[in-house]
Amino acid sequence: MEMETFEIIDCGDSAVLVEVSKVVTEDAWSKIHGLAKALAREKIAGITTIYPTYTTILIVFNCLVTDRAILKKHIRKFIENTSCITNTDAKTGERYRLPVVFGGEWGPDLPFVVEHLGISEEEVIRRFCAGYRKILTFATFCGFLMQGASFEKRIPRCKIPHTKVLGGCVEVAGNKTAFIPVTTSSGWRVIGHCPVKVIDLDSMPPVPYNPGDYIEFFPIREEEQSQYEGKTIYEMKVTS
Amino acid sequence: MDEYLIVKIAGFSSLQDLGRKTYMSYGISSNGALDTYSYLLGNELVGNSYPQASIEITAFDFMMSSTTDIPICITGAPADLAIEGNPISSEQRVVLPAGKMLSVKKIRDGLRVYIAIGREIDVPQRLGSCSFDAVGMLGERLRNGHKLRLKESKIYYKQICGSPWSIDVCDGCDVDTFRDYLEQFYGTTYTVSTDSNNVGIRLGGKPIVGHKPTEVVSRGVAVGSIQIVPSGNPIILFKGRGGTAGYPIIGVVASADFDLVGQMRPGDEVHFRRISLAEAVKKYKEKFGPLKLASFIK
Repeated sequence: MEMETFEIIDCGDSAVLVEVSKVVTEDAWSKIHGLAKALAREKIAGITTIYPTYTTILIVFNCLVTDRAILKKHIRKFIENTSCITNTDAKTGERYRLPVVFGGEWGPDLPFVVEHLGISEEEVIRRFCAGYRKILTFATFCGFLMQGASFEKRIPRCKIPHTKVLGGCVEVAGNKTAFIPVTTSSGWRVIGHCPVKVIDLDSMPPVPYNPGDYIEFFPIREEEQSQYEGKTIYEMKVTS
Repeated sequence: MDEYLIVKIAGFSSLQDLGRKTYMSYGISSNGALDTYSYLLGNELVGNSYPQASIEITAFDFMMSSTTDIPICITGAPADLAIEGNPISSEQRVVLPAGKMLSVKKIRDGLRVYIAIGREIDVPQRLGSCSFDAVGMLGERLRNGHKLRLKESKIYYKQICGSPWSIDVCDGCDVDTFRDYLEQFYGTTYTVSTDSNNVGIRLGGKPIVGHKPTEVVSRGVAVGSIQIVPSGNPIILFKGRGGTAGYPIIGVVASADFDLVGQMRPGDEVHFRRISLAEAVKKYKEKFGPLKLASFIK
């Protein structure tokens, strides 16, 4: 792999972060998702978690089982010796279309985003829904983070994170979009809500999508929510 | 003060373990408990983290007491088991109270009964085993009145709860961002907010402001990561955290102190102590190393 530059950064006594870039690029994303899959196949003793996101992989280990120095050496050697890692697995490229109710109680931060961007609410929604964007990483409980809409400005996170955001909410921050299927706390700006059920914990994997798949949102009115509430993510898959 | 098991009636009994392993080339046999399964089962059930010397009783009645409360577990052939005449069960951990008499009588169906002891007996190791070898006269049979000294009980890590909490922290991945703020962070007494749960523990106190950047590229975060949100307050991301976080991380709670974080009550005071990774690992090993179930930690 052409991974001339990578860093292994300590994160407390039981984790390291492998970082290939300080900025999010398609290249960095590909590398770390490919590398994460290859590392998982290595089944290195003591590693409990391998979690690739944008430009980094979080590797958590049990310090009773393995030693940080040995582990770092192993990872370093593995990266340097792995001549060709691709992320073809990650580029599944499946497509899904998800309905979203914007604003009001379903998207309490929409007014902030409108004001911050200095464009109309309709224009914010139009741009947010303009085409497919790629899922970059899993986040909270099968949620995902994806490329953001083409807004002119980045959107700042909340100064004080929300303590409770309704499951199914669509959120924005920086130049990214998040969809989190469960109710949780969040520092992102909540602009809308998707009524479709995406998680099925009785099947494995619990969600069909993966980093590398594509999502397009489309706006629905509040009163249209009920007609999507019984639907599952599988019914939202686009086959063409 | 030394503590003892005191054998009242020895019958035909001896101390046994798994025996000697590596001396067969000299013609020295392993010996050891003749019913290995019963021996190990007793040790397992009594809670020993490695196989300790047990009392192997062959055929004849046996009685003993202890000068201290001691966990025992009896396995092997059926027999009448009692403490001070009150029947007890086999294959269960039982505490033999100090000064009370344990009796093993009428061994039947099989020949041998094992008493696993939940403490280490101070017995000489010959060629790596305490087992009785009648040929080489290693080890010895138990006698009436035999006193078996118990070694000090294992010292478990003493976890002390209560405000003000002192939590050990290692540097996090963004420690450079906070180079000028570490003194403030480690010198501040924070208050645990009521807005705390298994996802995050929010802390109130003098805010950390002015550092750059206040947001970073989101990445996976380890349990215990302490992020500084733009208001300047720290949040400890805990076991229910969402995986990624985009606020910079000033430090990560040492794994050995997660349990304390899990015990902090809203309104409690907490301050942090900066330690090295090596110190954190050492502390974790000291705390969890003696717990055999720690190998199951995810």
